[in-house]
Amino acid sequence: MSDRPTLQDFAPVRDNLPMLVPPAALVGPDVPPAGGTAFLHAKARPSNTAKTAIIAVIDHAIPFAHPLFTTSSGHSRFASIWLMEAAATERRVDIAFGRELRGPDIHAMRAEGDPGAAYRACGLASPGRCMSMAHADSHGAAVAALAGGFLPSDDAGRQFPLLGVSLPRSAMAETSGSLAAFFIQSALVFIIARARALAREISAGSGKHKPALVVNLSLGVTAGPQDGSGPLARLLDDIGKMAFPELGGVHFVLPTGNHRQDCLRAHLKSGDRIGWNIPPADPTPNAIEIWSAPSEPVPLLKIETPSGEQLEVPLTTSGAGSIVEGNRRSIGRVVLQRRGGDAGRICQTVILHPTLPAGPDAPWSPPGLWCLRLESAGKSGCDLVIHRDDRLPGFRTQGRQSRLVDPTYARRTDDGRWPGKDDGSSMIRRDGTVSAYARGTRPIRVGAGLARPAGRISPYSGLLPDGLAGDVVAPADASPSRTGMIVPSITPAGRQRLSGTSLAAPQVARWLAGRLSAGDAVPDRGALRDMIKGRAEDGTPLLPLDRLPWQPGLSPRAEEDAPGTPPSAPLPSE
Amino acid sequence: MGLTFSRETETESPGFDDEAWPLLHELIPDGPTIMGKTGQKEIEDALEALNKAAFGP
Repeated sequence: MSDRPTLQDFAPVRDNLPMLVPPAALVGPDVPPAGGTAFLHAKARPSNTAKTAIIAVIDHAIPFAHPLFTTSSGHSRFASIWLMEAAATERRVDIAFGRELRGPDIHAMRAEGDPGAAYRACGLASPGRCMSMAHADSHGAAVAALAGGFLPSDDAGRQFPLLGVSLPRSAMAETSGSLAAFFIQSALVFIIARARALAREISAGSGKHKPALVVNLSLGVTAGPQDGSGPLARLLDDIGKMAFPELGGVHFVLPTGNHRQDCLRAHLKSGDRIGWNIPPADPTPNAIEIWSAPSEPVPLLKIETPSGEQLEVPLTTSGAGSIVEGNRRSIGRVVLQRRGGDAGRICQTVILHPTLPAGPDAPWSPPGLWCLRLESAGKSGCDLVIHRDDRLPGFRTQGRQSRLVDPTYARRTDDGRWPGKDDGSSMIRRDGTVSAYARGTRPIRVGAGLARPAGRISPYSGLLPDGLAGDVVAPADASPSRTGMIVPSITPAGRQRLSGTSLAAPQVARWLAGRLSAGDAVPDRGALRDMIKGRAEDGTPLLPLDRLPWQPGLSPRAEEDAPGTPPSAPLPSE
Repeated sequence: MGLTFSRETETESPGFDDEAWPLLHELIPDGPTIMGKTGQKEIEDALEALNKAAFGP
């Protein structure tokens, strides 16, 4: 366990928390201690502890008071949720900021006829401070409902106690993942700690049953080492291998990402040159990583601005420097590192300042078509990957995504479709566009597919390095012309239409928890592949759409209204 | 005119730099942190307690 990444790796984020969470989320000296609270009310505990699996969700704006997470008696199925942005109104010894709520706390906060009461009570719908739960829609509402939502009247829900971590808005808005890693790693540690304690509570007096834990992490980044040596990928692998005395295994389910068609990845040989389109009016930095193959020498990189000025980066050992224009103005930086696991890979990160500077004295770089040329490189060439820098729905303007430009690259096939796996005709690559978080050996990687025609892979769904769509594919889009699926929103009767591998992953988490609670053994990805009989167009196992407590809009209306399917009436509000 | 390179650091480290996050340098300003030493210690202690709860016996 000596090489497990620690939170010390993210000290700059930890030490600047007041920039990243609402001021009220910081635990002040006068905050009173929290009382000892059970995780679940007796009426929300599993009725059969031998057939229980814990489902955990790490996301943003999780509507913990939603009826889909409530039993028929009105008690919360959330055993514990860490609200990282909530006002710190009580102190727990292991909660560094925000607030942890347990099931009975949530029950006490809910108010009949007022679905937002619990969120306001936590300071999560507070104008001028934190409005994360004041919106109708959220990513966390969709993901949590797909992973662990059950109708209150469905007693099966009690077999799947929930854990959650609601990440701060700042971590989600900065999509490169540079800020989020600290919060996600803290969240993973929290989930393990609480799952162990919850398992002890559930099994007390009812034998020695060890519930499995399924953790859904529907978040992803583009850049980072492809060999699974990134800090979060290593942590997931490390935890997945551990044996906890209270738990019957820990399983992580992650999406492959949505960036297959975004021209963010390329492979260059020595002498190759590729364009890098930097958008105007971008208030965030743009960054690209240039990775050499293991044990190969430092590549010599030439950078060219849109106006034709050129620079050969002179770094030959680990270090950093600024790219300076003739008038002594810095327009970017280059950092050279040795990274990437035991074999060691050289990684040069080129960071260009925002094209929309924050103020008159802030550094900026010119937008337009920059060029990168590998003057020399090892015989394997280099992988280039652009950091994610986009804007999530519902978030204020953040980044604008840069992309690679290769005149020989066709963004559509001759018949007008989006292309699938690489055919080797261009420097730009679609293979290997899987999220860096999902590049370890343990997590189950989930791609998105279309409901009709069944088995077709969604065009945006990231691909593994071998060109497959993942370990399993689940439906997230109705058809090529009708993208997305209908999912619950924050408000009890609300719905939103979302798309992406973020929605495919929690369907697999839900299915996996069901199989584990039934006693099936799923020790690794291979076992999971064998358990699923359907196949997508590329041979990847295809998970059929599970029956959900709402109509997801993936099938023709006549099929969804067929006998045996849940009614289309709104969910009970309170 | 033209571009030049201004070297800032040269670690010549023979080891690995896995913990380094180049973009953080751009996103979080250099210099003194916002939080005082007391606040830092409380957060560190809480995170360490969480780590023990997760991975302890």
